[in-house]
Amino acid sequence: MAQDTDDILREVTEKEYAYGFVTDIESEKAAKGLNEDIVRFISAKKNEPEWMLEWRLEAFRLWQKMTEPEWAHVHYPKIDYQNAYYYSAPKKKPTLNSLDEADPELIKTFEKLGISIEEQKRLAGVAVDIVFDSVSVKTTFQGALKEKGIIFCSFSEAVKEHPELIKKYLGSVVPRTDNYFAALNSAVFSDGSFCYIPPGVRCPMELSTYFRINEAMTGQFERTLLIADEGAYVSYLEGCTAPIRDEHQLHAAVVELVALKDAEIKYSTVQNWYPGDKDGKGGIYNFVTKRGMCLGDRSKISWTQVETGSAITWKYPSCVLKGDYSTGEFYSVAVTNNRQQADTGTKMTHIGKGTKSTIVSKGISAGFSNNSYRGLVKIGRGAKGARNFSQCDSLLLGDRCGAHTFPYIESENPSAMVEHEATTSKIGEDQIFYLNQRGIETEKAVSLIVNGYCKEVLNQLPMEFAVEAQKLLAVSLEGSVG
Amino acid sequence: MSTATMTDPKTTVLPLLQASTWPAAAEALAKVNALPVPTIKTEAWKYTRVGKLFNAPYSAATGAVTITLSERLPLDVTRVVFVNGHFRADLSDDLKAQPHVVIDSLTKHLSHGPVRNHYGHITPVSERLFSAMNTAAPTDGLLLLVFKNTEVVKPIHVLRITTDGKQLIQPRDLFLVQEGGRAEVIEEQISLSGDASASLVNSVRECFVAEGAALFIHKLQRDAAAHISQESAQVDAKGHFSISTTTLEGSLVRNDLNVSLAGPEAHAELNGVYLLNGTTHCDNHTYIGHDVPDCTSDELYKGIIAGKGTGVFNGKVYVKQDAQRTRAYQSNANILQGDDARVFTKPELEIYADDVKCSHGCTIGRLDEKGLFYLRSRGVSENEARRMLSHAFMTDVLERIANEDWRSYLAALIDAKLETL
Repeated sequence: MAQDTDDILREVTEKEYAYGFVTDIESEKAAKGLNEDIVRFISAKKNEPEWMLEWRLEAFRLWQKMTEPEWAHVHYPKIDYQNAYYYSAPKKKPTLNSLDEADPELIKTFEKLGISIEEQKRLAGVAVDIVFDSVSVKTTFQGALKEKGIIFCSFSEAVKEHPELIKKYLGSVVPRTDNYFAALNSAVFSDGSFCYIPPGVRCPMELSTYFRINEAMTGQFERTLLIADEGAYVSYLEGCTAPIRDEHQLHAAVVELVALKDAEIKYSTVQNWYPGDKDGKGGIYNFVTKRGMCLGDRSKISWTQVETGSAITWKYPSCVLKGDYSTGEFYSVAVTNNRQQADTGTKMTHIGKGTKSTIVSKGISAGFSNNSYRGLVKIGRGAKGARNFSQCDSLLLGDRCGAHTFPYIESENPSAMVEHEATTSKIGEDQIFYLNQRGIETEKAVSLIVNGYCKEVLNQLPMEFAVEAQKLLAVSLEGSVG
Repeated sequence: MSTATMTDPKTTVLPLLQASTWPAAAEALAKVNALPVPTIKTEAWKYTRVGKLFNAPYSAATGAVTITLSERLPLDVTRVVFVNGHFRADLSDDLKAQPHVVIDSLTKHLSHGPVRNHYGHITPVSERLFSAMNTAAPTDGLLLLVFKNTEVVKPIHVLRITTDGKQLIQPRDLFLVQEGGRAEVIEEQISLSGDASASLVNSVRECFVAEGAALFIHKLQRDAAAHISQESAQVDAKGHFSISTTTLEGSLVRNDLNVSLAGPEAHAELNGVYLLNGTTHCDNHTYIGHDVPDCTSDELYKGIIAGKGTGVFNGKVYVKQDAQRTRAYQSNANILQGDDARVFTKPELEIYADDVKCSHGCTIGRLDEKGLFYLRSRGVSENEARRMLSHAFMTDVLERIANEDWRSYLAALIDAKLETL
């Protein structure tokens, strides 16, 4: 029979993180704390050229002069940046040609997550660049990509092999001075992914990176740079899970996307890092800077995110629409439960003529969590005929959580059209009742309604990812509340 | 960053704020000394620069000016006149015509019980410099006290006149509508004789709407001076607070409106119209606090911005924990005309209760091209077509004004202003 909604709510809000386990891999880490020597240590570890080290040091010096942002609607104890490790790498760093050579512990980890590489390989030809802690361990499908002239490798490899591209584009979208966490990342980034799609090439498969944060008290500083040259197309997937830790873990990643003339980049994220336990103990601090630059005319960048994890999320995947008639899109589902806090949204900066942007944000809050949408739509003076549509909906599951909307809308061009709408509500008792009396129990009814509520966003995910996203929503909310 | 070496910009106003005998003036003065002049880095003042208001010293506001009053409003009202913030009994109507209603200069009643019990209670002196400035040395203001179950028969027309010079004028009003009372106030800000654009009118008003009471305020801003205002209202159970703000002229206009729905089934209605051209900068900041369950609020602000005008709207709806069954609607629509017109808008929702229906919408755009084409194809001239569409754009805000005489008077003013855009 239909379960009492309160019971269901309790069941869901008290559900422990299903993916919490620790992989025992001996790691090599830098000394605790942060100073120029640590930056040098990281750079040396990666055998980086002098210019890269200089770039990092400059970032570090800038970071020291900056202050941590406090405007977000999140609360957490002050982070002691000197009480963290800024580099850790799996000790054995094998250069692998096939999965057989990979560390069996690692394979086991992925199997536990249900995203074994074998499966991924079979699934519609997804090339997985696994980032395990900070160092890229395994890259598959590189051969097939190489044929097309696509470069898809770890960031440190790209620094060595493609310095001209790195020099040209690194920091061009997210400059080191952009914000506190971006500066920190620029100084100490450990590794990440690099991707370049040559002109006119349509990437034949979805590129994907799986993240795991695995070392206790390790800051994780990913750096991703993705360039789609003229007329190129790429769809990039990013997904993450992390094990239970008592100590808060800081994650300050930077993702830069560059789309040249007629290029299109689709960037999808499923984020399920450890959110802390139900009392808000532990969990990841996810302070990420993601930004795409539509540099060329008619280029397009599309962000899709499903955010279910992390104790604190501070993330605004943005688009700078510089090229004329370029397009930016942002589709987001953010779920917060227990004591989670999310302050997420997007920035659409319209510079070019006839630029278009679409924002669809769906927030779901439960338990004692707080979920905020924060966005900026800025129409510059030259953005003639620019167009924006934003929709931000919030769903409240429980009377102790919060849902907030902070949209900033600025227009300096009279020919631009901007529309914004937001709603906040709970699931209607009439909707539940309707489904109940059709023989669908409350648990399933809520799941159905939540899925329908998020459908607009989930539909944007590539097939392979949509499955995982739905699974995640199912774990955290299916049959949750009324 | 450091301003230690620079002279404090507040020295342009501080001499005028000393030794006031108004309640809590000394504490407020201490706050003025402590609070910095907000910059665009201050979130609440992100789009409105007020630094220039402190460029040169002000003189004290003078009420003893010979005034030739404009014509009366075409509706039956009780007129109360303030010249440069000072109450002018000689220019005002007989204010004692109706029993159980007090309409008077606030200065005379500062020691009276109801005033003492409410004055300064809902004004954010501690964090807002302008409120602290006003509280440190108010010029004068209107006391409106409506006794229990009394309906004020005629609307009260508060005419505030600014004359030339560079004066610091600090109006301070207190409106108390007791249980079941009802009042309607039309506040008109105008400038007369010479150039008043150098003056700063920094006003504060506190409104208390008791259980089952209703207060309607119509605010019409067409004064050349800079206007910074803070309006706070506390609405008790089943109370009704309604305010419409129409901004037609001004150099710098900033209206802070802070409504607290403090009793169940209280209702607030906030309407705004702004028609800006020249270099007028108009910033409407509203905050509606749903502090208890079962309250409703409805907010509609619409503006047309032309020339080098700037329109700013920041509306926040805050729903406290356990304020269940809240219904809150908020809408802001803007039309931009001219390449130098700008609009910044930020509708916010902050919600901590789950059984709520809250929504906000916001648009920025231009006049409907299809509509224009349709009218042109029917032989309507381009200018006339634009006027018709602009008029239509404003209609739904105007229709919310219940007082028909006032509405048609205001509509005519708006139409005249539209001609100039």
